[in-house]
Amino acid sequence: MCLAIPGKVVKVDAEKGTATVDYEVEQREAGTVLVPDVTVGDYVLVQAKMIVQVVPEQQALDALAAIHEADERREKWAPGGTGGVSGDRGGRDA
Amino acid sequence: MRDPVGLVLMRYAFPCAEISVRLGHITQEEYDALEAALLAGESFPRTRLERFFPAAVRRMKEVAEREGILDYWSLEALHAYFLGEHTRYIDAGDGMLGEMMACEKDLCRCRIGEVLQVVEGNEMVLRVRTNEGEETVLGRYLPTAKKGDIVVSHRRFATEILDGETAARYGSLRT
Repeated sequence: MCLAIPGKVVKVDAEKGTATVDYEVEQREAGTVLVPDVTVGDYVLVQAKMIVQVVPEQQALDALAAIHEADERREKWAPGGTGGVSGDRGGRDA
Repeated sequence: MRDPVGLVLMRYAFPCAEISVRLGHITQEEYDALEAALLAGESFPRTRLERFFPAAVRRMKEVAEREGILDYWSLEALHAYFLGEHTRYIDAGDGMLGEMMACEKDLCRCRIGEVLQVVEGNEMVLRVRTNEGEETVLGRYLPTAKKGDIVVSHRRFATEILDGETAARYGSLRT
């Protein structure tokens, strides 16, 4: 299950200690206390409503490309299935 | 419910539970209840935790069997997995651990460190010194942590306070 999806920071509210993170299909607010230097444009991992890590851009882009590829394969074999970065990725882990 | 093994397992595994919600393996209601239980210091029933976190439980069983630990549902087995073997499972790419980004693999490793400072605010934050340097972790689910404690962090969440024997066994800190 340790397979988080990177999101892109589109807004930082330093006063509130929060950032808005974009996941293509939705945006979510997350705390920045662990990454006080996070800036707009950074790719990040969020857990329990907290940004826990800034992801190197190339790693994030590669991960998102792999997710889109998996979504396309699923759409091909299961028309009408749910796609997008919040779709089913199978398996559980910890 | 007081089940120390279940409660500690929840602290290790909960940071990943959002993914299970997204996958449809845990409902949002179950996720919310898990967090509420963590905040209250209570465990979910073992049967539900085994369903929520099957990979971690499988590995606890495997490690327990290899090390001759009779009961996989024990702190001894949990420590043997998370503190002893978790990194090796990550490096081996076991299950979905193999699909993580490189930076997430590093994030997923369990680290043992000494609490240098507790910062109270909107979020309880711990400054922790590990053998790899200092890091900031969330103390949200481990509110009893205090300066000088030896704690474990997993995915930047403090998961438990170790006794001296366990800390010495799994993570001799350099002075």
